Amino acid sequence: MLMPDGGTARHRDILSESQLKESFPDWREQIRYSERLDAQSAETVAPESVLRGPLASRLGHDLYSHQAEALDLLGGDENVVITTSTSSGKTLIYQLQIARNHIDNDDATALCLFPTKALTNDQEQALNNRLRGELDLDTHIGTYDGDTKDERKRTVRESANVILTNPAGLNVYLPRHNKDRGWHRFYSNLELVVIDEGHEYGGVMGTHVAWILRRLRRVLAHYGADPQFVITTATIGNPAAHASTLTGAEFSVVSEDGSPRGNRDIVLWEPPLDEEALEGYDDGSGDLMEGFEQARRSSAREASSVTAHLAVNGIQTLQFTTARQGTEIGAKQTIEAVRDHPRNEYIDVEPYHAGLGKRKRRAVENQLKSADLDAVISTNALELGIDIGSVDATVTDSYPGTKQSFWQQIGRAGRGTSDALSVLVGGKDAMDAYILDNPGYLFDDDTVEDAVVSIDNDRVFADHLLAAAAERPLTAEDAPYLGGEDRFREMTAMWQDAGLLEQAGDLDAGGVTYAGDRRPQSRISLYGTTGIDYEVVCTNGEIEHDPVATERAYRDYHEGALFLHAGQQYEVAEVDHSQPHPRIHVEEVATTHYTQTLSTKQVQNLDVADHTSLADGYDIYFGTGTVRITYGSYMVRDYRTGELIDGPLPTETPPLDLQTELLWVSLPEDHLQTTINALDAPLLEPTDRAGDDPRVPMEQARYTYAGGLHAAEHGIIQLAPLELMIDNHDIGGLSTPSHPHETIPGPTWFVHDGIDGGIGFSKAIYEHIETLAARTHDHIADCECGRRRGCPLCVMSEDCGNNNDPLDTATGTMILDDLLAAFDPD
Amino acid sequence: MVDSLGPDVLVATDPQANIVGPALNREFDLDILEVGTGMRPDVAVTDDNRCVVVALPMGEDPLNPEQIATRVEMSSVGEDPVDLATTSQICLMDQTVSLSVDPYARSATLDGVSSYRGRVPDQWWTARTVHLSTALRAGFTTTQSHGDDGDTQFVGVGTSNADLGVGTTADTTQATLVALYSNGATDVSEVDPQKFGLRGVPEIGPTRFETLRNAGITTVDALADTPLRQLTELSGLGRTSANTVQTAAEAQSTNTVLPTGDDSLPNQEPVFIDIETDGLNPSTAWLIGVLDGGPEDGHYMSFREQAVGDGSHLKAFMTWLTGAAAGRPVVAWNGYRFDFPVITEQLQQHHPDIVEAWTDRYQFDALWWATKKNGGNAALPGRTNKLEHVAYALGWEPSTNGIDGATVAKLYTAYRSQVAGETDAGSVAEPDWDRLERYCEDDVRALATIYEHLEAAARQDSETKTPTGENSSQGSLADFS
Repeated sequence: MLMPDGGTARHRDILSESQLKESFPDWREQIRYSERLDAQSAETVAPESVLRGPLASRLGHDLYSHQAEALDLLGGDENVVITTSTSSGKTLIYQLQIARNHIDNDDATALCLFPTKALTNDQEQALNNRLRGELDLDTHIGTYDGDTKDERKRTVRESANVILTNPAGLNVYLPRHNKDRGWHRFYSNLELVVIDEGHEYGGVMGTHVAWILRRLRRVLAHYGADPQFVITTATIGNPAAHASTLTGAEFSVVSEDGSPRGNRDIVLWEPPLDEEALEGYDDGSGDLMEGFEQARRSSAREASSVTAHLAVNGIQTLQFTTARQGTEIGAKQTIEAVRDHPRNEYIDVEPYHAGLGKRKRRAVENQLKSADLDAVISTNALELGIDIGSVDATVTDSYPGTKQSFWQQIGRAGRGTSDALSVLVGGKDAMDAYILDNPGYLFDDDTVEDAVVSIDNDRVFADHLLAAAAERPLTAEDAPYLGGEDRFREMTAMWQDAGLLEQAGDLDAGGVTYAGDRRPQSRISLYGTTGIDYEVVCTNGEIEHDPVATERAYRDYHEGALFLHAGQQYEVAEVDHSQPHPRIHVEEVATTHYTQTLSTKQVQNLDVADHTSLADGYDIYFGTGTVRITYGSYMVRDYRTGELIDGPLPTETPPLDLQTELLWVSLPEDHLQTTINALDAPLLEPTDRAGDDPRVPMEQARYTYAGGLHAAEHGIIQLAPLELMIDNHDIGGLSTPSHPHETIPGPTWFVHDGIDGGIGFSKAIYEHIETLAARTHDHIADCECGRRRGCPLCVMSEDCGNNNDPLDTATGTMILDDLLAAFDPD
Repeated sequence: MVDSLGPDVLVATDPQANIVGPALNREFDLDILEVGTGMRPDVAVTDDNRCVVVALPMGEDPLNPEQIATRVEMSSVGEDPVDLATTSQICLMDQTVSLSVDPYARSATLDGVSSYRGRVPDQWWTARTVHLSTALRAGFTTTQSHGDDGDTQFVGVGTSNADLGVGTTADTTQATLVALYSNGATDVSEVDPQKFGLRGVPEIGPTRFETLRNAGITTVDALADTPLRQLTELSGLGRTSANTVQTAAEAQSTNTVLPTGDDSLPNQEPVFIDIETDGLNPSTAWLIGVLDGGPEDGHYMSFREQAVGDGSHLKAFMTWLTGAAAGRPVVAWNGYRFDFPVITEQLQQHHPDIVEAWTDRYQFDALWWATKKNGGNAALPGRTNKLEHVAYALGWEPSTNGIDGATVAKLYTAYRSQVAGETDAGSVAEPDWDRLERYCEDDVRALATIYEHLEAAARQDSETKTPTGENSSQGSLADFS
């Protein structure tokens, strides 16, 4: 029904109504919406118009208009950020700029930063082919990272024109600038810095990268080098601002895409909900999450069925899942789905994620390229520009959280001008529900989310300041790079007082040298803000796992927690919190269970930084405070059915104090009473579970109102990624009928960064609160569940530390209504 | 460790000071002080009766000078009881003064000073008193100005709970060595307890240490005397490694340099150099000390900058090097990691035209040759591989004391800051340049001392290279295994 013309392309046929009816197991009209994006022809410019003779003739083909525009700007000494679509030829821009620089001056060097090592290897190959092959230039290009052999490293330092690495590598190589002739040569002649996939640098990682780039620029200034920057990014709402926060420099934006593309079909697919299974959960007495889990086929299983269906029909498919632990299960489920499929076919499926070994990843990439695999189930690790050739179709299991990421994944299908098919299988949370209900959000609205990166975290700054001092003594001239005059001087003074910078030194006279233990850079962790990482070690087998930041260790890796990694299930046996090398000891286990952590929270020591005063006693504040979270207990569930197996069980985890950024919405003192008076629905009856929970008010009016506040808080957090590129697992909330702080006369709810020191998330939400509240209001009021206690598609959250109780969509809608009215009193 | 350092007083610090204290007491015949645990102040007097160390007791009561005077009399060594009033140095030690760092407030503050002040009698609140705290990180010193009260110096001798970010490793809790000089200066350095005795021998980690100890081999001397066959069986080391271990032990036990490799030293007569900077991550090398000749009779020259940051001495140094000393190798200790690249960077900054003349020069790192080149060429004595420690073990004596590289860097940095703050540079009190240059001279002579021993070892090696018996031929077979 939704493939009106049946299509000439073979793969479009596969998802036609008749085909699906005939061959899709248990077809229940899952297609909610489909959109056809028409092919677009190329807009090109003759290379001679921007490149000088020899280079233009060697290039031998036209440039797309956006490539020419960018090269023009670079020719005029500007920094450029390019936001055109996936596979629009963004890399050619910096390749040609490197070539131009090289022709003008064969000592010229360029530094290229990629977010992953895999991408670095890929691009080294591409650069060599372009510069040494096609353009016939005598450039020396070298990757320089943790995998590079020492001997090779020396050659690269001594002679490379182009060095490719990643920000974490740059962090530890930078201090060598004055200890090695090769680095000195490289930095002195540096004319171009390329930052590929710049949208990747948000949140915790982004704040570290922003400081590493500032440290780089400051060292370069010492060598008299002032390179141009080229940043490529996926489409984001604020490219110039993002590029500027990341580097501290000013940028011109190139966004008009001149590249061609084929027809593209995008299908929104809704897993069927089994209404009958929900009966018996509706009175609030049962475990609603379990009900929903059983009622709705898991989106992952449904996505696997779609992938299986495409693959058995000969369409090579790349399936993206949002959770790392989804890829292995996804591969298993796809094979199961193929077994259930009426066509008796066999297909080759592999999981792919960053936790796999390098060799394994390379093998999957090559098998994809050579079409030896029919399907790959991947995390967003394959979202980035690793060359896997083109797949015929993509299946996205659950909305990936941002439009930017969504389009990036879709761009993986049908590279060049070939036709492409993509399916989004809706997950079971509020974002997905919103998008299935409002496909226009994806297709009509031209705006995309803002990337969120902040350099305001003083703890991260403090660490990078020590690193900078170890690279070169600090002097007054460094202030523009290192936080600005006041912040730079205050933090320098702090470290002098603490004895880690030379106490006798003077910024205005000779400088301040580093006096702490050697190589502070090596102790900076890009995974967190506190410099403390948990190492994951396996007691009865092998595990290769990235270090875990404190905040995540407390939430997801408490004793008894279950997780799946690289195809193997693990249980956390013991957590050793002792500094300086805390460890998580895990054991291999065989189980179909997963765990869900419950928490309690207190917010204290509020300090107001900004305040928006609304009408009638409504106020919104932004500031800092201490959030004490106790991940005290956890539930064990079966991931196939959602069934509660055990719990709540104690975690034995000590409380975690986050000194972080937060916003709070302060409501009028009598708001509980006025809301309850105006409520024309019955009050909610507290659940049995709530009766056991001393934090939940048992009196009906208070219980109902608390449910409304809780619903509003959840709703806003869950829909925040509609506006902002933020990971809502790194935001937390707390709603409470009263709080002792002077700015809070009545009920309130908090939204806080889940990372110590903050990473700009709650600040961005504060700045967008009106739009977010409006979206949330409409979404909760219109949710098709129509249930007072909500559903996972509107206000229930898997991350809820309080088992989603109490929740009331009726009061929640009223609270948001009142808040919105206060923005606009007339 | 304690034997080798020979301290006057030992202080037990956290973690677990209350366990460590009594244990040390059983082990050593020394004054062991513990802070904040006793009912009365704990007092120790140094062997030369010049310094009195007082550990504050529990509680918050002020110290009673008379009570302490009595205890000092009891603890004095020798015939004449020490008179507290005339003792040259008083050292008070507590556990309340601590540092707190709050990056969000961008401040680092000393906490507990006022309650501490309340316990210290006025006559000891002077510049002559050193205030130690076990709640401050070892190596940390800070001076607080208290208006009319004058300045107070606090010295850390323990561990800190402050948030020091990436500035400290805290990998091993090291022992702190506090040296007090009669002029009131203090020098605080850290020593790694694991680098003493058997644990100081290369290849001997915790497991092998246990194994050896269970076999009754508890000292470096005993290790040096253990038959090679027994050592291989015990330690699980290959023959070559066992040989290395034993040679290292023998070098330490006999205070000699022993050959372990085949590489030769440069043929030409070396030029020894050492630089003084403004820290370990320096922005200047304001003094280059050069020794032309041997440790005893070699000619020492100082190339020192004429004005802060002028770089003129670099040119003078290079002129001498490329003229009078043309063609000779430049030798430094740890030069590849420090002296050579620092000089390169300084030349790049001040005299880019002569950088090549420097980088093309034969530069030779004697430490690297001894410990790293082709697996190392010499086993060194000394409690660490620091220049002073190796040279000291070989019988070298410094002519200066109470000073080290870090102190020199501090003195220079303080001077430079003053110069920059004054319009008339001549009005700033200059440091005692002679003393600083003498310190640098000490270091190059120490280097020349070691180099002589390295040469002797290299010669010895070439003389004994031919396999002379069963052991050595099997040793060389194992090289290929």
